[in-house]
Amino acid sequence: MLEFDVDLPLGHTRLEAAASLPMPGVTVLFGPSGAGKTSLLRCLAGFDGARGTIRFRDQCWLDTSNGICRRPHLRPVGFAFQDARLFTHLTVLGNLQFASRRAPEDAPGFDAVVDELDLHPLLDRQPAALSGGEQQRISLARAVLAGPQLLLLDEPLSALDSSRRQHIGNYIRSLPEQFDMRLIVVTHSVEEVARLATDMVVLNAGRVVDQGEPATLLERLLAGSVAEGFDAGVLLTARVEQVLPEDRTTMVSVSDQVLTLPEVLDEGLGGHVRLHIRSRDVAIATRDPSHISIRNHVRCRVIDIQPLPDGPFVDVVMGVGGQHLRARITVMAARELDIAAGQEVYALIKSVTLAS
Amino acid sequence: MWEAVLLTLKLAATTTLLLLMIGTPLAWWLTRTSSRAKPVIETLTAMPLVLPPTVLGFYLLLVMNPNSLLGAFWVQLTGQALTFSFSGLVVASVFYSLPFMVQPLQAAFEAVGRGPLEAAASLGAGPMDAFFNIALPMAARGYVTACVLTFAHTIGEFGVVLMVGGNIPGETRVVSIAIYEQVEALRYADAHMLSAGLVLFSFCVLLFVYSLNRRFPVRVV
Repeated sequence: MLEFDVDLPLGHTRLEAAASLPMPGVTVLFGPSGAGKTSLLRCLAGFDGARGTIRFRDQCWLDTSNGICRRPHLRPVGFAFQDARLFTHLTVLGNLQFASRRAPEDAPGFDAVVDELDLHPLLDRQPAALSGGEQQRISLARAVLAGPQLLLLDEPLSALDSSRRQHIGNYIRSLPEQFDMRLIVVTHSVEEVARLATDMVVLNAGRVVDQGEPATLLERLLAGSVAEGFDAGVLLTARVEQVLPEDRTTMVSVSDQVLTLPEVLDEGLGGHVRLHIRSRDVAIATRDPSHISIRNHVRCRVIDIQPLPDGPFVDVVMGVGGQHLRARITVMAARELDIAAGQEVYALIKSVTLAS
Repeated sequence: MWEAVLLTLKLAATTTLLLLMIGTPLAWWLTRTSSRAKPVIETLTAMPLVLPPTVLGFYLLLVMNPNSLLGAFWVQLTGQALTFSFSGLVVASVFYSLPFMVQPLQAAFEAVGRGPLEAAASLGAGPMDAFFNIALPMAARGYVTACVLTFAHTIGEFGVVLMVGGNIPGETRVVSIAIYEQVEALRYADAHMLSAGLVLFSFCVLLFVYSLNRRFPVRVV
């Protein structure tokens, strides 16, 4: 259980976040950039002089009205910073040992962590000579090795390539069960939320605006304003029809329509997966086009056309087998194609990603 | 002549050592503080850079002479006057060379930044632990620069020494004073030897500092 109610000036806005989190495992802190996600992590770690209260399990970390403020190094908190912050005067091994030498006895074992994050080849290297992804893995390993009770990860997968991202995502998700560790992970990627979260908090403009079960929250968010930018879209449930390992592709179906997913799934045939489809990755055609590289042509019916405030775009909401798709197209395109509710159209989906 | 050289080296070494101990906490405090006193302390630290050494020497003479409070206390403590003694020279040199120690250290600590220290704290390192194991080694090159500059600058001082130390062989007659005296006595050959030695020494020291900073430009002061 983590309870906080903190207040901190942030440039021209304020962080005024309060929540009581059951923290079953991995809590994802989600929100647009500038929402105060990193600042909230820093408050929890004790770096910025926030006012208010923070309680974790049976410990009181902050209670400014009673003059209590536990200093950062006395909080059982680990922090993997977005910018890694490796110690440049030490080797990779030195960095990891700095953490493990100061860790409590029940902290994760050195070799296991190094194995899991594939750091053996890097141990003798100097941090300055490493790539961003490598630094990020080392920073994560260092934070885990410190054996914290609360592990704070600030966009831990952002610099990793996609194959590593999957493996390390799974590792992060396994930490609460392996060790008695609770995690808070900052991200603004819907994909990472779906991959990591057992619990979710949505932050916007310095305030906690929503919290709860990730799948429900995501649905609500994707249509709404918090994910307004890059990630706005829908989650679709699809059925696994066919795996084509030689093409690194999986065929899935939504109602009677088949979609191509550029990823090899472990799920058995007939299993269900959730897909994340961004509105900006969906185009609309009034006839099924040929001679086009986009694989996914979904026949569906227009339900609604929602204008977006202050911009040249509209969201076209379409129904396919009881589920929704959204396409973000320009007002001009909608007018020229003469799109109206009830019309049958083809949604051309440029990119489908797996959400869980 | 060698007496003067040895005395000069002893003075520079003692001053550098003392300033390491004084400059480290002062530079660290200046780096970390958000106190309003910071610009005032920074100004005071930088004053010896702009003041004529004679001004500094004059006031030190007033403060340290056996009739003053501090001077009298020193006489009671050691049985010796602070003025016109080696100890007095050390005290004067510490003031005189203070900015040459503090400024490079402060720049080095600022270059380390808060990031690594926050990382250290999040890994359970307390303030002292983080200082000695992270900040200090990361600022190592700043220390080299600071020590070399302090040492060299102390060797080059003249005005302050003349004011508070005079010209006592083996006690306060450092190289720069010895040169002055040789020139006054028209012993140009001797003056040349010491002067050329100082020129060469200064060149080597500065070359060392600059090439050190050139080779590792990342963590430069």
